[in-house]
Amino acid sequence: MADLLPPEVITDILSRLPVHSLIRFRCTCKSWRSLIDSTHFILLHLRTSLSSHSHSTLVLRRDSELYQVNLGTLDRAIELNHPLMCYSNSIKVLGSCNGLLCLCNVAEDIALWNPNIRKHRLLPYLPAERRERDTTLFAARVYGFGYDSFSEDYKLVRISYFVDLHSRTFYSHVKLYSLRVDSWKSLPNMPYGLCCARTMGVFVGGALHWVVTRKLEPDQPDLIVAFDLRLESFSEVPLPETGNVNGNFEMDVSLLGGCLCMVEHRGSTRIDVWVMEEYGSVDSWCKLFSLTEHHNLRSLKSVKPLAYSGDGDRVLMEHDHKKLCWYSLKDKVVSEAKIPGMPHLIEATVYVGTLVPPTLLIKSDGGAKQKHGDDKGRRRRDDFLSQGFKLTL
Amino acid sequence: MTQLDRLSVYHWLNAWCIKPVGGALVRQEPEYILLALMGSPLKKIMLCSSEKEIFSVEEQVMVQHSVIINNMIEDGSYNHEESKIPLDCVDSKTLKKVIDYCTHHTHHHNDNQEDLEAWDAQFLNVDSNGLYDLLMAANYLEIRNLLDLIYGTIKNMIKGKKIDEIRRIFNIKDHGFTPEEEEQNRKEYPHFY
Repeated sequence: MADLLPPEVITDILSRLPVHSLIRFRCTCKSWRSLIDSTHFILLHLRTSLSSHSHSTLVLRRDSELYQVNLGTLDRAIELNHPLMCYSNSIKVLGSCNGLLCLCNVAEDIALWNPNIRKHRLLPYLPAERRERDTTLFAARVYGFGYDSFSEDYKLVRISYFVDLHSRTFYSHVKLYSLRVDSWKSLPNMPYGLCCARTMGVFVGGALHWVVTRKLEPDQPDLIVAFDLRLESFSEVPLPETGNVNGNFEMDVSLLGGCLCMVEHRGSTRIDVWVMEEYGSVDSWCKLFSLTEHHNLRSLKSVKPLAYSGDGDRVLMEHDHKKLCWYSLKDKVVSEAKIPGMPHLIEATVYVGTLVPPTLLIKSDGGAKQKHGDDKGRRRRDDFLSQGFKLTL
Repeated sequence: MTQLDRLSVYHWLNAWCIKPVGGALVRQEPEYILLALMGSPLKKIMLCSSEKEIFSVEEQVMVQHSVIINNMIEDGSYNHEESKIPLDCVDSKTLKKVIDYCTHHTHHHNDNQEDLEAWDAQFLNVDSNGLYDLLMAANYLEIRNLLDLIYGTIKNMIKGKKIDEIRRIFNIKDHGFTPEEEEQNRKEYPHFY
């Protein structure tokens, strides 16, 4: 006859479930609720979700609305009720990390939001910087959102980019928000010029990445800059040899399968997609595929790879910030990805469904302030471990 | 190569026990030569079920899959000539199934993914008691890929189920919530109810 199931087996089973099942199963009994709410379980579930790719979702933005689509099936677009006021204008997705989305509206209200558990947090307002001289113009503002595993802190970077067209110079104000201190601070200017105003920072290898240039000159090549979230400093990412001698090929960055992805626009007739398979190793750059006019893309303006298909044979891409399409690595053809009920003019972000809340998680080995919480946690854990569960299917 | 052929070669090698190493001929244990030649080790280990039934299985198969058995062989607590590994919490029927799983996955690890998945699906076509016994055995022996397989099956079984069914499956008789706490649960995540 069936005996009791050990607690580690229950934990293992639950850690593989999607978030909406876990939220419901919180009500099964007190032990399960305290397990699912515990920091240990939230982090275990996060690790499981990140490594299995099973909880990957696509978030599509159309104007001020957000929709969620399962990445595996691409079948139904479900509208998400995000927490920001739109003022009849669009909202922006600034980044996604560990199941948290960072959103901002036209009034530059910024929120951290977990669409799965529907908890959000508004960030303190950061006013726009004033231009330093009358001859300078505000050109662009980009953000980047990521996680600093060293200090266990979520950070948001804001780069406000100003140009002086007369002297062909630029400067970028850099500000950093840390969830741990819940405030913004100023950092030294970024010594590069932003190339693309629409691409938010790509978070990989503990750093945020943007495409920049060293000088505002026509022959200056694009390069990828990395802002390390722990060191809070900029460095350049070594690029592969792509034969870009004149510096006139535009570049874009993206995240594909957990790796830094570089998209190089070689004129108007070809787009090369490269992937850095091992972050930081220049030899690990590999050209994944090329798109040419033969691929029936009406214009090769911009392509943003998003994710691999479940079997790894195809790459889902956002095309011209408007449509989704699949590229088959085997057959080398492009096909449109139509999502029922989803009109055109969409931008896509990939995120993983997790239980991570937009607040700091208290670990059980925390400081003096958290000791009381620690005792409660230990008692709850012991209660849970003293029980067991029988399995009857 | 059939079992008979393997034995013939084994005896032949036993008689000669030679292997060229760096230009010289060195005496080597016949098992290792055979290993080198055919990649199929003869070393077997004995597993003893809770019903005291003995199962003989290739050492390589169990060492590859079970962390517990691998550790026992590595730290030398298992003596090939004399001892058997007692598995008091695994009955004969379950132990045979576990051995089947490990043996198949060792010998067919080069098969294509679809065939392996089909075999796994057929393997797990058991009743709930059988699944429970397999789960407990895989957990005890720390056979990671079998555990992952069983967890995947259980996860798919339970993820859409209602709370009452979950309580029945996991035999939770008393959920421990007061009516106020149940109301509180609903209020925390209102859109889920």
